[in-house]
Amino acid sequence: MATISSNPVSGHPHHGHDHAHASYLQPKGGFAATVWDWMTTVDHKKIGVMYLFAILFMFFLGGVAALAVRMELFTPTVVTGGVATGQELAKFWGVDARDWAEGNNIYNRTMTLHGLIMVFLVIVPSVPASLGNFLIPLMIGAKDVAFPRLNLASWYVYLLGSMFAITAVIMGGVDTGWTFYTPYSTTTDAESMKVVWMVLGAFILGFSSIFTGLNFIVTIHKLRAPGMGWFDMPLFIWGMYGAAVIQVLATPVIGITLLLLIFERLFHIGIFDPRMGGDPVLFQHFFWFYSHPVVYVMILPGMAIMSELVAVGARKKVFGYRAVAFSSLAIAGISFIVWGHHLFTSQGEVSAVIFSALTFLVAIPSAVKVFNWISTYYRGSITLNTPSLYALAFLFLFSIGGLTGLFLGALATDLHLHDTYFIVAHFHYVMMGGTIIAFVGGIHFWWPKMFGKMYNENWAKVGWLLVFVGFNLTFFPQFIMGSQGMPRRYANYVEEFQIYHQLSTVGSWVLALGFVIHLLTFIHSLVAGPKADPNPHGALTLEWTHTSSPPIEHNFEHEPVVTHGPYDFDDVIPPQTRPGEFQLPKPNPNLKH
Amino acid sequence: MSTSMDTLLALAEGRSLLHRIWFLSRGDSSQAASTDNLFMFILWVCIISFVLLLIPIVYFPFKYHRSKQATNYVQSPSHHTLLELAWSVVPLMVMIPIFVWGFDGYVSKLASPADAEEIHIRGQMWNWTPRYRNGAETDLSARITDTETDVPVIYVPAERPVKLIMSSSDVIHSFFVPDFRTKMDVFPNRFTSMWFKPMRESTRGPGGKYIDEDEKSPNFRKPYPGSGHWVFCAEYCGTKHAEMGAWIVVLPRREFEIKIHELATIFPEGTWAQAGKTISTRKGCLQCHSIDGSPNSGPTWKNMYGATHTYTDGSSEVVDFNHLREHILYSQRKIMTGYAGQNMPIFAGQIKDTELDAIIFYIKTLSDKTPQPELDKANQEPDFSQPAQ
Repeated sequence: MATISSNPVSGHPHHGHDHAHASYLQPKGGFAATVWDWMTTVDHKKIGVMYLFAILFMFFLGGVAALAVRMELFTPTVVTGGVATGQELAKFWGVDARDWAEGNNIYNRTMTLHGLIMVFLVIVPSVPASLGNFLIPLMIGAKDVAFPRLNLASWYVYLLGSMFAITAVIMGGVDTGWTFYTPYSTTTDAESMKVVWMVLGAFILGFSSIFTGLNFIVTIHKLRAPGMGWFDMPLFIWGMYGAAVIQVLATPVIGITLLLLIFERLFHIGIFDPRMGGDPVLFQHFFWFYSHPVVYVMILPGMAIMSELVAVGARKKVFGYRAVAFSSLAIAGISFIVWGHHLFTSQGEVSAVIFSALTFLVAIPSAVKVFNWISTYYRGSITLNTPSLYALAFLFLFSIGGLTGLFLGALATDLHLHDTYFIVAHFHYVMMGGTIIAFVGGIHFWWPKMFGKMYNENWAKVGWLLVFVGFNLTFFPQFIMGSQGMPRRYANYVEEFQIYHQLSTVGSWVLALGFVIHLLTFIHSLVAGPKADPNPHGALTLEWTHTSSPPIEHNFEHEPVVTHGPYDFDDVIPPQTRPGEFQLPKPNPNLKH
Repeated sequence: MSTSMDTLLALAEGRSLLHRIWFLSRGDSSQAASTDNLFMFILWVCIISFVLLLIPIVYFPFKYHRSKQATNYVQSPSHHTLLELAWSVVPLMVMIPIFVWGFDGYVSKLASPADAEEIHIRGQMWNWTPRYRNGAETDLSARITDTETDVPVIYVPAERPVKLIMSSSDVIHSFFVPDFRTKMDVFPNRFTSMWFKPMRESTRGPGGKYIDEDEKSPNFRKPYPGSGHWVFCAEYCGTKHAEMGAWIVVLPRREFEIKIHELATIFPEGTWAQAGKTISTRKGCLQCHSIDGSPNSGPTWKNMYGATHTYTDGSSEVVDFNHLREHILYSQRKIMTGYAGQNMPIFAGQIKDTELDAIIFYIKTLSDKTPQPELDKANQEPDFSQPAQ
């Protein structure tokens, strides 16, 4: 990389004709030109920001579906004289109360919509495509990702996949559940193409995921700045690397499986439907061979964010750096051989025993990470700003999510808890309490870097509190009702579960209010937020120390040379230094380039 | 009922307060109690682990808050091999007993005793149909909730092992009995089975409500044999998935015998076994397979169920319901030793699922090796003149 300028890094981006030295956010000419610039950009930062807004929009849609689901479950459906009461969704859509099966259909479509959007359009791409895209090159001191055009292609493929999914929704929505279990998914809505559109959407989104993963692997291998060995990388990079490996290796399997599903629907080739000679359990094996590793595509990037939030929040080197780094790889590896634990109730088989044992094994690297993060706080210099609070919330919620996995890995208890609300609560504690909480914490953490503006800390904390309380109120009662036997994906339930459903629904309102406050805080920050320093948190990774907020278009004025580890706070910054007041050490002249 | 009384009662029942809060009801089958013990063990492991994690999560941010670090900041090590090894190994050690206990419970939930009462269950959107040992089918359904959804009733004998042999007519369902703490998926292309041993008294009365033992309570009902348990479908199956329930009624052995006898006599087309005989005659099975042990071009059905068959490829297996299913549908996959060259037609696509069920049921009734529930002496010959309760 050629030296661009000898100017030292400053908090004030240069404004001038040379765009290379201007903030990447600076408009290029008029409105139309700026839009065109963003649409055709190969800048990883712009692609990351576009992904961020798209994903947040999808999160909003999926969230509305979730609120609708919770609303419907506030009261059980009671039919008297052929007239249904308690069907909130049907009432909202103006369905005749005598046609109460239609009320169930609406619920089933809404719950499917929530699952499909949240899994395929939000959590899988969430951290890698937005923060990962934005931060990986900055953190390793590169100008861009290895394949910038492939990166832009991945964005358009994501849009295309979303279009297919939205088409299916406009056609009335599908009721397959996000898992597309056969033969239900190959026979439902037989006269309509909408299931095919939805499955094609998920198929296309897989390619977006593969492009991103491939890009990250090559970028991390080839584009690290001089002086940055594998163990000098921020742990964020290690987490993203583990996730990228899974994305590239597992996604093709779901791609082929979904294609087979489409072939079965369109051409009646019997692969999964027993009426045509197929086997429905085969689909479950194929599906979970992808979908189990992919839950680690969802959680590893959340863990990646956590390492940064904890280290910077405690201003201390992450305890056991190598253990945290290798546990990411261990998780990526073991995740491929545990899929059978989704099939414990499918057939009583000896293989279930092996899958049960492996499932316990995969818990160890995750537990190691949690222990390391907590130990990092020991004798740290801890700040309790919003990102730090989110890191603590993650530790709280993810611990519950992880520990409740023990009930499900154990075969005898899983036979009881499988497909109940216990599972629903468990994976929301892991996926939402883990990934989404880390994601929201990460957005707060890197917001000043991405947009060059500070947000209102007090309102952000109010939002955090509501999200934390609302989350637990929503999902903790689900553990109890699941244990008592409330099955998942039920539009209706017997009365004894009502109290838990009502707590859960009220919790969903508190949770929603928390997110609305975050949204307003961010909008306020964009419009009227004070300008951000290059390094408001006093972090030591390159995106904070070597470029302005927001970064210039080419990321760095000159190629960064790494002179200290990502978390060497003890050596670099005295613990009492206030953000912005410290001096970076001079580059080490003895370092080999 | 006062809280202290509640606690005392729970202790008397051998249930902890936490178990009462978490589950409301005790499990009502022999395996449910052991599953709950495992559940409570894991729950305590979780609670203790979580508290141990929570202490530093809450304490450190205050103790080591940046505002307090002006004077007492001490550098601390960022790595400790022994400590890190310990916290990898200790959780593993805790997990080993959970794994073994879980495995043990799984085996005891899957391996049914030989003398189990076998009941065939067929799931279809959105209904469950039981068929009993004597071929009787439940055509009754009962309103058990405030909604107008009628759900089928499945009668089971109390304190006897009951084995369910299940299959589906359409998509995947899952037979879930929360009070027995077990479930098994039900497939359209194979038989799956599960078993349980229901206790005599249920903690649920009619209407699915828990029985309150306090006489002054509005929910008071005398606990009586014959109260029941919910069955839910636990695998998503479309529009009325949430309404695909059933109600298991536990009857004392004698009353169970009377009940299924009564059901057999009111079934207008005859019993399920009779239907199986009619269908196998119509399909031409009996032209080649005898039912009395006499040799024919096909192996006899007499005592076939439960026998060990050997095949021309050298393998051998015990004939069970899944085995019969495969051999009727795809007869050419494996040829029994001594019957090479006898080309039995392939029935896949030629026979309905219910017809197949009936034929298999009929073959079972022709065998001495079919598991027979042991009737105790007093109930050898139930008095069928007495009406069932």
